Amino acid sequence: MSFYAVYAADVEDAARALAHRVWRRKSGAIWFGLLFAGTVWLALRLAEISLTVGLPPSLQVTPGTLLFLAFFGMLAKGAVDAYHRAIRPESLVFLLAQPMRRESVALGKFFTVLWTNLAFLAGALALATVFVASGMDVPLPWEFGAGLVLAVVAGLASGFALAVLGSLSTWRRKAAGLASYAPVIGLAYVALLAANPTVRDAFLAVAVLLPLSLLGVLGSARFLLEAWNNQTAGRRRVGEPRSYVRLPDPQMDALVNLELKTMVRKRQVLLSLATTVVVGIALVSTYAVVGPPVGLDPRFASLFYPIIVAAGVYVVAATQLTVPGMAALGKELDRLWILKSHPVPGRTVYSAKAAAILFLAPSLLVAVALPLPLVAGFRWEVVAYLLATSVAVTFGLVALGLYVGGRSPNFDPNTQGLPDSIAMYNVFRAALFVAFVLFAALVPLYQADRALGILGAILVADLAALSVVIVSVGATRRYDLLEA
Amino acid sequence: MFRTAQLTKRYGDVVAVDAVDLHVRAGEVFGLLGSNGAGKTTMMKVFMTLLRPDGGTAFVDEKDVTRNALAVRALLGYVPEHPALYEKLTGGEFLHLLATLRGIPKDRATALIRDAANLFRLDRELELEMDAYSRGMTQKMALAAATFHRPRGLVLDEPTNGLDPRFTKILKAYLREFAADGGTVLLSTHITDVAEAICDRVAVVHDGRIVALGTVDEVQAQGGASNLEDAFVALVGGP
Repeated sequence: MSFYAVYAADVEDAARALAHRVWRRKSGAIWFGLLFAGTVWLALRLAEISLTVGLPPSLQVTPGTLLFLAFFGMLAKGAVDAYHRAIRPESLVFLLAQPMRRESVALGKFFTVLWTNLAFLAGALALATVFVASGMDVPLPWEFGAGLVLAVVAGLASGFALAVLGSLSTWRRKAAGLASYAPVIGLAYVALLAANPTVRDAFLAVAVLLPLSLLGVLGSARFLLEAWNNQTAGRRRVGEPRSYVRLPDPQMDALVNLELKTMVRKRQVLLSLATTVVVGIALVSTYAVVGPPVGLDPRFASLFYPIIVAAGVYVVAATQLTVPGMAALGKELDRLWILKSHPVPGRTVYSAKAAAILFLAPSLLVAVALPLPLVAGFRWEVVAYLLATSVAVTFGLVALGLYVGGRSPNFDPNTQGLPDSIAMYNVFRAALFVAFVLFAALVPLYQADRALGILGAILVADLAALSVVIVSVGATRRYDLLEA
Repeated sequence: MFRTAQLTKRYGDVVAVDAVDLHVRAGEVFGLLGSNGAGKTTMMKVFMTLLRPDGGTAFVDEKDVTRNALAVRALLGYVPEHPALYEKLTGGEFLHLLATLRGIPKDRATALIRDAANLFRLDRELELEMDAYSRGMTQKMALAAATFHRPRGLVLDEPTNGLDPRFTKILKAYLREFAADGGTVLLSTHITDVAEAICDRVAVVHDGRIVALGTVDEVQAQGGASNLEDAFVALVGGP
């Protein structure tokens, strides 16, 4: 039962940190509750509308599709959570050095990941039950609810196993480890998507998937020590220090390169680019599978793919640009003394952090905002409008992340400087609102006069860029007041 | 070089530094002796502009630390009690980064870093990412980072933490030489041997106040003891 001691200590620690944050920001917790309920309601309402109006014949969303999306989404979440909680922390040494089996450490950490995510799922299902009971016309058979829980657990288990296996010491071992897990992912795809199962069959499929995924956790647990050693070990780098960019101000140049070097070596850039490309491929694949949106109301049909592109831009910008902005200061944790004890102005520090994040932005535009419009043969003015508004959203969401990260940096080592779950969900919803406004505000103008609409979108992009500058200046004041 | 007037710092209800008057002269090695939580680190962080005073003032080279933070930092080198470093940078990259932040030209920075690497025996470590460092290597890198740019003053919080006896000896000699060349060292320690060996003067800090101040002999006399350890225990209370 030593895994339980690891799990209990983690949960206790996380719960106290969360309680502290909630106590400090009560309004944030209330907003979170309201927005969380609103999101569940919105999801059910969209399902209700889709069931009434119907989707294009080529876009069939089945219970298997939804369970596969839940499995796959939680796989990604589980991998990230496992990396931050079980593979990367230096403090794991205190557990690995205890007289207990290393598998117990892995299991304890896995249960921590499971607990935090299942708590959200339980809340969402409870709210869904309340909404459906109060009159929403959405069928919610028990097989689907139970299947969703199993899919989430299976996804988190798979993500945990993949994070460990993907952190092994050599590329060959990584590839072998990841390949050994491929049958589980393949089974999920075949059983939930390709076979187009009924809700009952989908439930049975995830019921089979779950024990396989849990076996993956037990199997990968044997490699936790190797993964931890590999991820916490430093590498020898011979030769002149490498610069990724050259900027005229030496301090700015040094700090931007510091940020980029750290992001590259922690593989954050690789992960960010991979996520961006996957989303871009998903958008193009959607067009390849669904084709032109026939059968939809003509007013909605012309907006169908632009909305898909906007959704993709939002997802990538929120996860790859807003999140690093939120952690800009918090990730310094206990090494803030380095910058604060050197003669470098706070303005330069924060501007460098903003600039480093913005270096990730072009990949979003190239890989997400452009491919689908080009493949689908959008008119050039639609492409121009989408591109300009995507630039605006990019700047807007970078500014939002920097604002939150500067206003209330989180120096909690449990989250690696990221805000806690409540703040994170609140920001994602705020980001959704900002993205919606920036994408949609000028649509009526564009429909009235296309040239004016595009020019307006460019102006909005300029203003969004200005907001990054304003936010950076504001955050600088807080940085200067920060005590290390 | 370091001066305070009625310096006060609170953490909530806890008074960490209580109306302290202190004057550390240029060219001396000055030690702050105290138990854990006595207020030594807080005082040093105020001098480093990492904490703002709640009352009174602190000066470095007659510059007010709250009004001239950047100028104060330019004069000093600092080693915190637990020096966390950029784990994904190599030691060489880290020192070059700090040189750039201090406006040191690249050629001169390379020469200074080479000298520091020789002094602190860090040649191999300059090419190694710092998350591979042992506790002692981390401390040596922090000491190199504080000293390589030839600052006017050093603020060292428990500088011998994690160092082996051989390197502790090298460090003591270096600090004496640094002071002999006109530099000022403000260090904290709870190892009385270190204070006896290198400090021109020491202050015993207890509950945020200075309870004794002077040369090692003077403090021993104030504590009514024949060595610094016994004097310290007598002054702060305990067995």
